[in-house]
Amino acid sequence: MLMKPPPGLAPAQMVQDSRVNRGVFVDPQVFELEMQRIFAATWVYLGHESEVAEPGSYKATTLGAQPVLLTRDAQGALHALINACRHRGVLLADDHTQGKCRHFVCPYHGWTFDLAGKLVSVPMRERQTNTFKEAELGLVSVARLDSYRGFVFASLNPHVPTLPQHLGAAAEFFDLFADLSPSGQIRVETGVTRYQFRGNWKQQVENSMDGYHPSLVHYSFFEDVLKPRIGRGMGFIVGPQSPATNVSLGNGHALIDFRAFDRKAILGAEKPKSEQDWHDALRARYADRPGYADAVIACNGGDGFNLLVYPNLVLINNQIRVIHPVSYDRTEVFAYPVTLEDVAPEINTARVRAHEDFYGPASFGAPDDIEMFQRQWDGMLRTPAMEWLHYDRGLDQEVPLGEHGRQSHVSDETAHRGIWRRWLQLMQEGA
Amino acid sequence: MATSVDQAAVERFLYQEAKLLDERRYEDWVGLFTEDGVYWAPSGHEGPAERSVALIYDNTPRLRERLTRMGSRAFWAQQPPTHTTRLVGNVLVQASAEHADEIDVECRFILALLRRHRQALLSGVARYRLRPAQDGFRIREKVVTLQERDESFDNLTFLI
Repeated sequence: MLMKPPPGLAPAQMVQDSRVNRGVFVDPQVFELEMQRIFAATWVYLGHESEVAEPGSYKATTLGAQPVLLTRDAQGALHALINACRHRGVLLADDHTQGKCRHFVCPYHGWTFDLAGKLVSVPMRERQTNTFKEAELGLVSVARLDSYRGFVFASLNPHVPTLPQHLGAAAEFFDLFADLSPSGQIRVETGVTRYQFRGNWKQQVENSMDGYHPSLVHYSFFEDVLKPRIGRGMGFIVGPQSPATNVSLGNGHALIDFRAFDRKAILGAEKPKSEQDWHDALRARYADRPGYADAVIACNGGDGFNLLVYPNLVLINNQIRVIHPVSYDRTEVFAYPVTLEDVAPEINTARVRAHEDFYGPASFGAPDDIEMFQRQWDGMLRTPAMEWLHYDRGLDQEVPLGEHGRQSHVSDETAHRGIWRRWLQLMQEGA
Repeated sequence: MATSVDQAAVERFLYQEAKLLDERRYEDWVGLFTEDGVYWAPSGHEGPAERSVALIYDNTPRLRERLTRMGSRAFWAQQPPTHTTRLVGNVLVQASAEHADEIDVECRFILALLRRHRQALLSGVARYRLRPAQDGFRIREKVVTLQERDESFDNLTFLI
């Protein structure tokens, strides 16, 4: 059942070419509609397989604003289940917890479900009516579940295109991200950096693809901290002469592509000695693919790429960033540093320390972004007299890239226009 | 075993440190750390620092970078600054069993915050490894375990 559009502007009126009505961010009814038409309609990232590596493990997360359980059952199969008892709707595991168990037992009346979602036990079963069927009262499952390179996605829409179709041009960047590991396997195992802000989820989506803000917002890192460290500030990365690009990949996916740089590490001041062994292992692994190992290596160290997989996943540097929309005015972000299999322990420690350098609420980067989200929210929320936000940077200079993509200078808003095209398409489908 | 530890001297040191932090006398505060000092605020992840993402994991050079940012003209997350008032108590002092000439200190703290008209409260345990110095002590390690370490924050750019 599709919800009606909000009584204000229809989606097509709110997103026009390169301007967006502020109501898209600040109208609670738009948020409700997004949960239906975006988060319940397309693929949403739930977690990495390494977070539920063992049979019997689970992770309580969200799909849009809904609580879900990502589980691995006793046979090793993955499931994604709505995290609420079928009897009276009680949450079965606290939000954002992980663990191992054989069953989820509802603490209210004791209904018991296995990790595949099957209802296996109901206390005092004999008092149920004779039409009561356990088979019909398993936990509500998502309609589709699939993974790529260990990244698990779910959809509540049984008619959603396949995950490979959905990922499209974004898929190769998962390869570049995971192939940094000599075994091809990455792990989420060192915890998470959590942050939140009073504001809308799309602010974090946009910011993750914004190559226009760093020289000002991150001035205190790039000019005051980084320049003394490596002898260069931010100008070479995002200034007018930068070879980096701002890319729309199609389906709302987007990229800031820094790979054209002569590689010089930005995050994490010290390079472990065993880095050479690791890189040699990659060159051996990809000996039959000339240039590929070096292409992978060039993505490490803070100057590879930022990838947005619309609507809720971002890969940056060593990091898997998951955006959780809580309500129209509340957003939570989970940033997981990723470790590599089959490298020296110090390589992974350096990856964790590099993550802490710029991400998280006490780091040298993210707090200044969060501060901008806050100031942006405090501005947008209270200014109906200023209706429109502008996204036209580089519009007349962007060029096609591949089948569905477009690209332009890193500081342009090509990615953002692609994000808004996708938003509009999803919000209008079935309307 | 080391000689008896002067509880009152350690308490004076902790109160002085708290005063430097609340008065934002950061240069003086960093001066309390040894050159091999560590300032660590773990996240909720259980495990050794090498395998766990932290809220803060600073060696002394990085701590100096943190202060450089404090002095930057474009450190937005501290413009306006977070005002802090902290109470330190329940101070337990003992000679270090592992490190000769060092003192292990554990205390509790309550930290009241005010930034842009919003108040907040943090609390937790701070553990120190202190080295006696001519004028008091130097901090070899300060580990701040926030009660709130597993919560989502929006801004932890003040000093804890």
